[in-house]
Amino acid sequence: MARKKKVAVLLSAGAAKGFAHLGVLKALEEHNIPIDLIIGTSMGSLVGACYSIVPKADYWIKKLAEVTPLHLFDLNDFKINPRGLMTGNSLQHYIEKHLGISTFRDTIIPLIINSADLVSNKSVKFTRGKISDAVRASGGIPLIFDVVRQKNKLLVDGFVIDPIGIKWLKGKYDLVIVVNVNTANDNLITEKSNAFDILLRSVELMQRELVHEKIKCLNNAVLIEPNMNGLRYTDFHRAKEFVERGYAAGKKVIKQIKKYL
Amino acid sequence: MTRFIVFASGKGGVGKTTLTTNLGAAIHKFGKDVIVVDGNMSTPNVSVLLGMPKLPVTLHDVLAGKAKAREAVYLHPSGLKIMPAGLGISQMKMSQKKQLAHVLNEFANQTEYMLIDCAAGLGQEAMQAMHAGDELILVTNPEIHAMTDALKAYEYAKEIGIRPIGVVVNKVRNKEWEMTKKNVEEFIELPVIGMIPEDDNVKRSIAYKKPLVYAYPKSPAARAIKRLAASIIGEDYRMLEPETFGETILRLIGF
Repeated sequence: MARKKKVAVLLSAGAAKGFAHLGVLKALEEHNIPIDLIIGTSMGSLVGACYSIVPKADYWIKKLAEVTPLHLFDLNDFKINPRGLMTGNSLQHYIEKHLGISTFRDTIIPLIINSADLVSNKSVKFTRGKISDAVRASGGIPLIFDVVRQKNKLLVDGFVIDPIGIKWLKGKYDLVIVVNVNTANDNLITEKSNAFDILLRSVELMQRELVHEKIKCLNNAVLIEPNMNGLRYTDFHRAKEFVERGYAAGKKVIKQIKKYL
Repeated sequence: MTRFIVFASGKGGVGKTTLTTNLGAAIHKFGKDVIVVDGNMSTPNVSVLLGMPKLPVTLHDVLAGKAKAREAVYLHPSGLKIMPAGLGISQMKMSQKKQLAHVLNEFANQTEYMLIDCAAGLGQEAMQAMHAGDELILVTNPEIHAMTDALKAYEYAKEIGIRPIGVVVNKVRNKEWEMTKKNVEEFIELPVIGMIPEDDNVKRSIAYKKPLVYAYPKSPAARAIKRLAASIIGEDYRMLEPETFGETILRLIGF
């Protein structure tokens, strides 16, 4: 009883589906489960960064519900560019100006952001400097965003190698909560689906299997997979619905989580 | 049943805020639900001590009627809950529509302990914070001027009908010029429930933005604070951690 149990939370990649992370965090907060480490990838890194600076899910739900796709993908961003369609500048601007997220030094909960390097073919972690740079590097979906160049690295979305950044989970944790929003249960793939949907579903399945495979090495992990029925990767305007799904999924596993604490 | 405990001192700089946050963390260590409220509205420090300076919704917004009380409660990674006040000068100038006591009453029966850190002095602010409490802990230093101010705060508390629990003497160095426990009890006419030694680890823990009882759980001040927490909530201190050999001897010979 004297020692405080340590809890790490791993937030997966998943574009708009990543809003569900906030719902899970809200459920944890309501049951007074303090978090000692957040590892985020792609959209998980954005939500993780928000929560590590102000650990109050309700505040971010309000703030992120105002997001429109235009905030994240400004028309000025489209440039003729051999490496990707968009520069990602407006995403970075949004993180700094609208969300008020600055540097890793401001985080209350330790935060690790996971990205992937295409030169060394390894995961890369960010733990210092500007958070917006790290989120941009972690969320640089290949083809859609330009790659981020850093010294001799070419950084793209972290999900390419590891959708939850499990590699950076060092040290002893009593409980590891893994939130995977790539559940591939949205019932949206039919015979009429277009190429984009099919591509996304393929990537989603790859990620899901990768997550399931990676967490096999943990014996104290709780996997949370919200039900994404009817919701797409691109539904940035439906943040509230995602949050509700995440919240419901979080509530379901609270009992299981409390067993470890 | 929620216990509303207010920490007052009269004099500033005796270590109220540090004591309140650490006592909150220590009570939380016993598995209780605690909220530490920063009742020091003009120079709030609870959030700074815990390394959470940039919080969007604060007690000022709640008192101004702009937010609900629940929105201003934050969960610190250590598990302690805090209700901070705004740090900016613009927040200080916000008009106040609600009374602190009224706001805190919303938490009655929803949490086990509310620890209210009071402002220094005995102005409007300190009095408002004192009205929000049911029980009083006087914090003082072993010096005569701190003692007289504490006595004044105690007399005011008596006037408004708060039940005093006792006196905590903070920053004790056991020098010959300091007032002893017996002196304090005779002077204030209240039992001394804790003597917290002066400890450099306190300042170190502030630099690391962690409560002392988590950062340096075995330091002398942390031990004294945990013992104080145990006596306040009526639990056995040894439940938290076994006492050292020296402590057992001291206890057996009656210290």
